[in-house]
Amino acid sequence: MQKSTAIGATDNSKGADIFKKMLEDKKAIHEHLAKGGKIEDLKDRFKFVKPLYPSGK
Amino acid sequence: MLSPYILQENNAYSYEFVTDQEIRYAIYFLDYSYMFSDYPSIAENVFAFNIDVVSGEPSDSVTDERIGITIFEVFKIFFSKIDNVAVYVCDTLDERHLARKRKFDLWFWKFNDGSLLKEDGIAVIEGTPIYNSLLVHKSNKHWPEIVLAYNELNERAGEK
Repeated sequence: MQKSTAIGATDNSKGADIFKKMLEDKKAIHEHLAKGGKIEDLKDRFKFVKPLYPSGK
Repeated sequence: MLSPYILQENNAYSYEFVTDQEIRYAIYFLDYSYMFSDYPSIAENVFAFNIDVVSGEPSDSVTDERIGITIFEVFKIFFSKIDNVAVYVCDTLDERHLARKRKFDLWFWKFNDGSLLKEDGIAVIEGTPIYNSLLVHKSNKHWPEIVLAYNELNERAGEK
């Protein structure tokens, strides 16, 4: 499993860490999907948030 | 008039839709609230927006406007909570990040109903430009601070 880099754990600026983490997350999820994996398999690894319709549907 | 594709809710973590060309896409948001943790008044409700192919082979030769319309349908849901903030990063996997940025810019220009503000940024990290955009609702009372904090993250990205 790919190891995630904690924000602030490197010598980079906070912005660099955040944008790099965003790309790493995107890449890891892309590779998982490309192998036929499902988003829900990753629910413990990434904090997915799903917006709801205003009605709460 | 073109309509959005039907959003499928197959799980609690993403939306999916299938195009006329049989390409299945997933749209998902990740919590990045710590992005603005240095600014407590705007720290909450910050999410990374992503769209990815689940199955099928997208072709550059096919222009499917309904994909952009569908994405903005999701934004309509997302920004029904006015305080939500979305950040989109163009991935650098295949050196096509600038083309993705242009496509996203075009979709925004075409399909934004006027309720959203977009601020673009380029974070240059170790010599590599990372194109990214911030979306915020015009009625978000904190939008000037959010844009300021976002620009600062981009401008200082190259610093050690």
